[in-house]
Amino acid sequence: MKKLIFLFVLSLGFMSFSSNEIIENEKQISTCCTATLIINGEPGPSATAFVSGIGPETSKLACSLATSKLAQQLSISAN
Amino acid sequence: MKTCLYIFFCLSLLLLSNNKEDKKEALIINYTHSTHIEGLPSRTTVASTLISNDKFSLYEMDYLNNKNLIDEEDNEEGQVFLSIRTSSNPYIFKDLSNKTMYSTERIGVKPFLVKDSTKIFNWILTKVKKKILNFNCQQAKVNYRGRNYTAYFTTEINFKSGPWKFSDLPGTILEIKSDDNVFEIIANKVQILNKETNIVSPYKNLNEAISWEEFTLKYKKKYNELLSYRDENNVTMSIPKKKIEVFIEED
Repeated sequence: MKKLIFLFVLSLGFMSFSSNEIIENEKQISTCCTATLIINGEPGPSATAFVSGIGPETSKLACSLATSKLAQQLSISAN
Repeated sequence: MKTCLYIFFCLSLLLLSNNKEDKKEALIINYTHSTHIEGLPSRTTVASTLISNDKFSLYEMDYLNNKNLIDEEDNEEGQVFLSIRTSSNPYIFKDLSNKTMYSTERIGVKPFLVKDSTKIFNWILTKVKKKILNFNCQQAKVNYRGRNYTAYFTTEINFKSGPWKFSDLPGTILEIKSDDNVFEIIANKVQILNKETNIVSPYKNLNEAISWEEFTLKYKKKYNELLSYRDENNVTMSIPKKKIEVFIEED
């Protein structure tokens, strides 16, 4: 009986470890996009955005964040 | 009689040579200026013009009138390139008497007026020759700020001048290319104006210029600062290690 309880507790621990691992792996999946400004044919600053998840919508969001950052830099410079 | 004729002949020669020295000329060369810097998706080619007299020269790269510049390019690997032009064309202004040159250089988007020496080119002249626009040209090679270049210059034009920052050859540079195909300037047309031509600096206050050494120190400082930058949206930023000139050596 004690052995059964011990095995049961062990298996609970194993399952929780596995599900944590899955959650950790999901957290590690992210998409990035780099936007680069070219000024008069020369490379200028680049901005890289990292967004959790995968897929075309995530990629679009990452590129949008990166280009917004560059636009912000341009507007700061203009002012 | 013979003595009179001889004196008359010598005086005539003297007068003619003086007139030749007083004659003011200006040189105008139209070039094609082309760059494809590493990491960029496409080559940028613009028309450019060098105008030079015996005191100053001005090299203008005409990005404003270039209809072929692509504003935005995407590739499939999560990269977007946004191309912009400044409100005025970039210039390289050279003070030939003082052997200095001035240009606008950028750290990120911020411009700096930078002063540099024209005596920074350690040219090696070779025996290779070719004709460009009917001018006999000699080959010269140089390593300039991280790239190797091959130039062709002619002594048949009475100016010592060159496009972009290049100078200090005993003639006029009609062609220069980097050996890695990143940079290329080729002359299309040469005009010599037989009249005095004033060349004025396009920059308002040359005294505000910083030296090339100061500029590269600022550039390296900014590059290192951005290595640890991340904003509230998890966006990082960087500036390139090199443009035409190399600022940060590869490890």
